[in-house]
Amino acid sequence: MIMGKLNKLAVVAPGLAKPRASLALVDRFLAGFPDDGVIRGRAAVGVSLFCPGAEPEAMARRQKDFGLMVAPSPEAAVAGADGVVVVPAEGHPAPAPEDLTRWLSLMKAGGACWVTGLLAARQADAAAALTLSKSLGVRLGSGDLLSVAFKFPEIPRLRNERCREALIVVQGDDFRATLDGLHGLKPEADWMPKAGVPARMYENDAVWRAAANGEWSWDLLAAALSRSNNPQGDAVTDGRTQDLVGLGIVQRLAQRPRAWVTDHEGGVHATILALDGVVGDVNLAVRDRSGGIHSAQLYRPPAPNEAGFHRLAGRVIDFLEGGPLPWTEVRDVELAAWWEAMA
Amino acid sequence: MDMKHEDNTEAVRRRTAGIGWSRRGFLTRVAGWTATGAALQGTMAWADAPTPRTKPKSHRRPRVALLATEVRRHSHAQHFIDRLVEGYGWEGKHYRPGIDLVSLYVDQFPKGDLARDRSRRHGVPIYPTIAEALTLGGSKLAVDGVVIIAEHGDYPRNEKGQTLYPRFKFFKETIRVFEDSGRSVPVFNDKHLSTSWAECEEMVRDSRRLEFAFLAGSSLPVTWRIPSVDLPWGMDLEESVSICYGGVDSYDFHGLETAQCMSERRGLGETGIKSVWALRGAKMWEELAKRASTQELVLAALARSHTVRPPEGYGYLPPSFDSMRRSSPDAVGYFIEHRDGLRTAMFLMNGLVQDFTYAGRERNRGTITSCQMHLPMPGHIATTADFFNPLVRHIETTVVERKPVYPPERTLLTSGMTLAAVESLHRGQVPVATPEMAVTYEVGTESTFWRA
Repeated sequence: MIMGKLNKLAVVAPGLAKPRASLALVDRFLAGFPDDGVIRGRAAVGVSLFCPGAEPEAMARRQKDFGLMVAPSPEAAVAGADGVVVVPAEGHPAPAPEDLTRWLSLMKAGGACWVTGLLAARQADAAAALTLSKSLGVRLGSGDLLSVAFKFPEIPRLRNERCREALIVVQGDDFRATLDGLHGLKPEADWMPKAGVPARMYENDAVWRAAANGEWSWDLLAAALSRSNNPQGDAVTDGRTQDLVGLGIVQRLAQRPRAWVTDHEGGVHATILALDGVVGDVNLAVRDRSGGIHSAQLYRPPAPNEAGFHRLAGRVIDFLEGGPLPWTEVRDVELAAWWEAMA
Repeated sequence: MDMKHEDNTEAVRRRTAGIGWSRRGFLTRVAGWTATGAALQGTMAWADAPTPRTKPKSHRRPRVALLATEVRRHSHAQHFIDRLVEGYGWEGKHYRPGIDLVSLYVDQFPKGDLARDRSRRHGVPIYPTIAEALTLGGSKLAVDGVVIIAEHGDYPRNEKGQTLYPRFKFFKETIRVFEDSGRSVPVFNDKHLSTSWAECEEMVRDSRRLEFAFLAGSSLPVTWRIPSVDLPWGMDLEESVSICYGGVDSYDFHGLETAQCMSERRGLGETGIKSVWALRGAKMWEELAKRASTQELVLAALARSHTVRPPEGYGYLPPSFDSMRRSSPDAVGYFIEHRDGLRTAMFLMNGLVQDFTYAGRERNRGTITSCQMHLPMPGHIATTADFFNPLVRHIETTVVERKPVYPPERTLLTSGMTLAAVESLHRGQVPVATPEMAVTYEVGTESTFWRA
């Protein structure tokens, strides 16, 4: 087990909601975790946490077991840190711009900051944060669990010039569905939403009419759903495998279906489909310029380990220690623009 | 004459020539089989085998019969039947198999039976006997493949704790139809072959004698892997470890298949099993404590697990030898010596993990390769057991091409290792010598696990 290179690593998680992601990351930074088959050691000499939503007992346990430094404020956590991880508050896709600005300003030059979510909820704020970080000599990046998820199968990333259409199937309320959709789809491409063109949102039967009008494609949905191992309906009752699209089952099972359709520079057409009641996992399909379809499941390992955090923590530490982002910096601005287009 | 040297030279020559496993290139040697107690020294090269008796008669879709112990939600037979009649996700599509399920034989109809529902829904008749299922009620074999799924159901256990599933019985009744009909067709047998070595061996020998393709085993070797890796073909492997959960004479077979599908890719292929030693609880942990290299592989395999039991108050912490022992005090370990010196260890670590992981060490540089064989289990993180998808696809390939996708000797040996481990535990956790398992085979360079 090899100790990380950082001197002080701070995790800042404002808000009072249950801090699942914060503790999942902090535990890995404190005690180590497996990354690509090897156990990585503690990430930094000192690990500080500002997380008002955490149970006092959980904090005390980590103080006792691993010497966690519990910070009374974000500023105290960040002060002197050479690596900072920001976990947006529950119900927020990104940290408040003024908070991120303040925390970046407190960091040591040469340090690095990772946001586990979007860099900002607006394109201009994301761009401003990147500009500020550069002026401060602090590296800045972002990404969440689905950005680095295992895929079944691993499929090539399709950048703008190779991608024509993309679709991802997600579940949950509008906030969770769109956020998962962005993080799940975005590593597949390098797409900037068309400026000033908002997303088109469809709900209930309008989702199916939108498909009939060419807004999204059934063949991409069929490809995506073929990757699911969590179909609902008859599969739950008796384990049956079914052609959910071919047999017309999707429309029957879907509970309050929703679709967000966006057009991107370079011609990419992207759809986030929230299909609660149809499948219980995240699956995507992408059509390339020659018409070929690439599809995969984005795998979310189960609780309590939530081993997806192994991968995320690995990429975060690589970046904080001076390694490259797993994607281009422009992606963070594009994601903010995409989120803004769907607002 | 130094037979081993001669075998090595031959294998090296073939590997140097880059010959993959194909009808012409696959060589399987069966040495030391004990049909009547006397060793049969022999070599069977498929390249030299007679042409199978059965030739395709037409371009019609191949028809298969499925013989099941019981069909209920999440029984193995349900998974196979539904994939054959409903299709399944494959290479980005809902794939409809190119073979037709045309008959069923079902041994038991428990509460919650789905056999009758599937029969009615898809027009697949259930016949009262295996012979009728294979002849479609006539007098001669009338199908192009036989799928034997004798897992689950209410069957007695013997004094060793083995569940006496009727795999051998189903198989032999199938053989009888083949013999009466004067022709044979490919057969798939789910999981291990039978509960005695003589029966297991007889099944493989029957497939050679009657010249039909025999595919067998578990879904573990063919499912997704995390990450998507295989051992380099021909590598110099020193030790294999697999970690899983479940019971003796049950999931242990899956754990052994997990290790064997990797180990068989080593140097000269599989050389057979020399001995098996099964230990339980404190004895197992004491033995493992003496084996530093095995411990290292155990931790490497666990680094691929997604289900390591964390201490109270945490979602995950890296396991240590002590934490493993605390989480799984009654763990079972099988320590296996192969005839060429390879060591395999398989662990059932109930209470610690609920998945299947592997780690193997290359001899010279000590490089460790590890992965998880991904089994999204219904009721846990999935509703359908899609790890059966590649197995059903391989059944179709075996039926259509009339040659197994991988050799039955793998399952002969994993069945044998399971049997020897059960025997070892039954005799009081003593090592069991296995001279009868001097079975050698090679697989081709191509990987057969799910990748696309």
